[in-house]
Amino acid sequence: MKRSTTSGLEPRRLGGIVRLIAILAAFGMVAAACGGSSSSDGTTSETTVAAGDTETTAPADDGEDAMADDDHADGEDAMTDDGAAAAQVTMEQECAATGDLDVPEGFNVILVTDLGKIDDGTFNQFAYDGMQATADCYGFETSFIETASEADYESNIATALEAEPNVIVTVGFLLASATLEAATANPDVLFIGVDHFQPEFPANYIGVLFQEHEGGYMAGALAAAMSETGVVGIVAGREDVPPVVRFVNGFTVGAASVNPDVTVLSVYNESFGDPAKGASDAQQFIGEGADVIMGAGGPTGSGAVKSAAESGAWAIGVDQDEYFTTFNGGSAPGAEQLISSAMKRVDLGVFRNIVAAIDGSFTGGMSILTAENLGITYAPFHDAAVTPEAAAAVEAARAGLADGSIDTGVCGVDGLFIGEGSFCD
Amino acid sequence: MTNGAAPNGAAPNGAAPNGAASKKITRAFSLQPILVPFYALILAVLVGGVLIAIVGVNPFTAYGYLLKGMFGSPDRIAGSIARSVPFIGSALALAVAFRAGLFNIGAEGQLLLGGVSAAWVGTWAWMADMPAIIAIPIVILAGMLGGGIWGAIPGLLRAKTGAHEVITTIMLNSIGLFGVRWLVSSQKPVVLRDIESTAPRTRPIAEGARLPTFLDSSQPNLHLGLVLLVLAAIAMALLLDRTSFGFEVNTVGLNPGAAKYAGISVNKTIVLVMALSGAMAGLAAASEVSGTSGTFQPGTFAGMGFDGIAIALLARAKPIPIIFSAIMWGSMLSGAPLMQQEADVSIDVVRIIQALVLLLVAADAIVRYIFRVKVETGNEFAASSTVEAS
Repeated sequence: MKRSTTSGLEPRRLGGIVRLIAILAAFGMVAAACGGSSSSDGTTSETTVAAGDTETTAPADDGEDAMADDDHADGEDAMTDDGAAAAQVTMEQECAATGDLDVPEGFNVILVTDLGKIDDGTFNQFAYDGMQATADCYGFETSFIETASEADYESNIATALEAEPNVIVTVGFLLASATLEAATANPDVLFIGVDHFQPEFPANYIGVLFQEHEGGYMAGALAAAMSETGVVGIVAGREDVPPVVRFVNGFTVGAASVNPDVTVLSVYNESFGDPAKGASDAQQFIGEGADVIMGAGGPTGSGAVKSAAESGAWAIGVDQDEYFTTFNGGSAPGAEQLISSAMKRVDLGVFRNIVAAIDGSFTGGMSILTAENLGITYAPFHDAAVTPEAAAAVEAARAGLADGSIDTGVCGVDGLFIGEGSFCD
Repeated sequence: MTNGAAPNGAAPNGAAPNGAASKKITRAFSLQPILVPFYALILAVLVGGVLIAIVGVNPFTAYGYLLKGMFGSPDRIAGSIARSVPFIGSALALAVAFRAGLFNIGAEGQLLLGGVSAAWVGTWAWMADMPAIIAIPIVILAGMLGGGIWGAIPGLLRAKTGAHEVITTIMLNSIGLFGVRWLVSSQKPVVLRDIESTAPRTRPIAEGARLPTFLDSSQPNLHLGLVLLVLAAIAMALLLDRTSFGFEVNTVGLNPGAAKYAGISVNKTIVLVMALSGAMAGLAAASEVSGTSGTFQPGTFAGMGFDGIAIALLARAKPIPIIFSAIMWGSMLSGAPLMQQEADVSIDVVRIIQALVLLLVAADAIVRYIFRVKVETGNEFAASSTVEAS
């Protein structure tokens, strides 16, 4: 009796359900894989599919030519961005300026990314481009590991160490503690950590940091100068990530420096990986009268930039020149509305520190990129009709920050205003 | 009898009329259950090799480095096994509930709740003075309790309101994820966050609560969690196959109506089984927190619950085979970075291979056709053998 029940009907029913579950599981894996790049996780990725917002994510594959085209773009757009061209340094120029170096035999650099890919249009790609530019300039071996899970940071660095490299570049503040551990245990290998802050660095470990508030300040000045309504907005990533706070507060100060009566709308988001939320934030701000929107928070911010540009508002990108990433080199709709991007030259930071590793000037500590050393700048205006006054305003802001005559009043550590309980007080 | 090709539907015409005893023996010693997953793996590796060749890399070189990354040195073997340990728990979380006919898609959330509970308890002030023999069990139990409660909720909802556990567990995944993420990353107010760390994670647990490691040099360290989770798998196998509770669980899974008629409290069984399921995920998370880093960082568990579903399916939801499918799964993930570094092949290839294996195991007619594998006698998935035994 029992037997006929067990091997009869029920098992087959279970078999069918097994298949259903298998499909579900496969779905979950795909979701997890897609979510991987967004610094969050598998479960949220289903919700990141943008509703009513078609091409929100940065087209990763086109990012590669971004760097290569950079100098051409500067040349072609010379009409509108003489100033910006002066503020930019291409990797070729940096290479030429650095001059000849004796690269030791078998010199070898390995890059470990944060969650994401070397062509994902984020700092992973920018850091990789920097490493490749250095290798192209001086000729040495490089390789890379793309991190797929936060559980893999330590083991990926360990894998990189097995190849006995001279330098390991790790990207993203989430790798900071794993990098510190590895640097302490391997004093013969040099470590370059992008966005890493440590209270104390060993002699073989440099943290590449950025004065994002200076970039935010330039973007704010440009936004306020372009705005006709006197209302500008910034859609930001997570508030517990200091670089994001530095962008937002720098933006606020920069906008007020051009127009003291400006209204700055700002919002922080729970996730960097939610372009749909960024887009709806941008629409919210436009509804409140904003006509210039900056996005500063990974794909969430890019979603805001894209949505604002497509609605006819001016948009300002962040980190890279989003003309090449988010707007696909100008072919995506709204590209003529992107007036600039507040750039963090991660590539330059990686380049200079690898050079330091080659020429022996490498000492542990922080390597800070600022407006002064061209590590923080604004991107060319490309196809956007930026008014001469606005172009002058942003260049004045950049020049002032570079020569030290402008102080943003934002603390470079936690991004809070100095005098209001920041780390710098 | 039938030589390959027979699709599932035409199942048990082969060995059905044989005596019960001989059938049990052949089942116990048969390679049949692992044939399909094994051949599926081979097929998937072949397809993966073609993909690797398409991107212009010699597949043998790539797979050579993959194998080297998985098992190339004692350190790597230890690291691969260590990477696999939590997958045993997240797969058990699916498998145990599966026996009761429940689909626990919530291991993802149960891992997080288990991990955060273990880390929270581990940082209690008085834990610092506790000897390991007391501190470790407390942290592990806290993890199991946290995961267990998170698993029991959908069980209760199913029992009391009839809400389907697939829906409720998925929802609880989101609630768990964002809740736990807030607990761990919030700075105003600081709840569990380690304010000295740049990454959002909890403070390190008491030194005494850390699981001892077998091998220090490997990455990550191979720790006692392996023993705990293997024991858990054995315990689950015994519980489900050799106890009256296991009988009740299987009966509920096969036919809730009949179970009720036979005097089994279906609702109670559902809640207990879901709690047990969640506890397995919680155990995995606690073992990670206590064995690997000493802190809890939510991102390290991302996707682990979903991978558990796949691993459990490969092992046909049987606890002991889960140990091996988890190790296969985890070591592939652990070996892939070396393949990328040395052969320049994207780590995503491994994900594709894993997905193909799963796909082929689910659509087993393909494998049976290609490799002429007979349809198993009684094409059951998980449940029937116990019922026969009793």
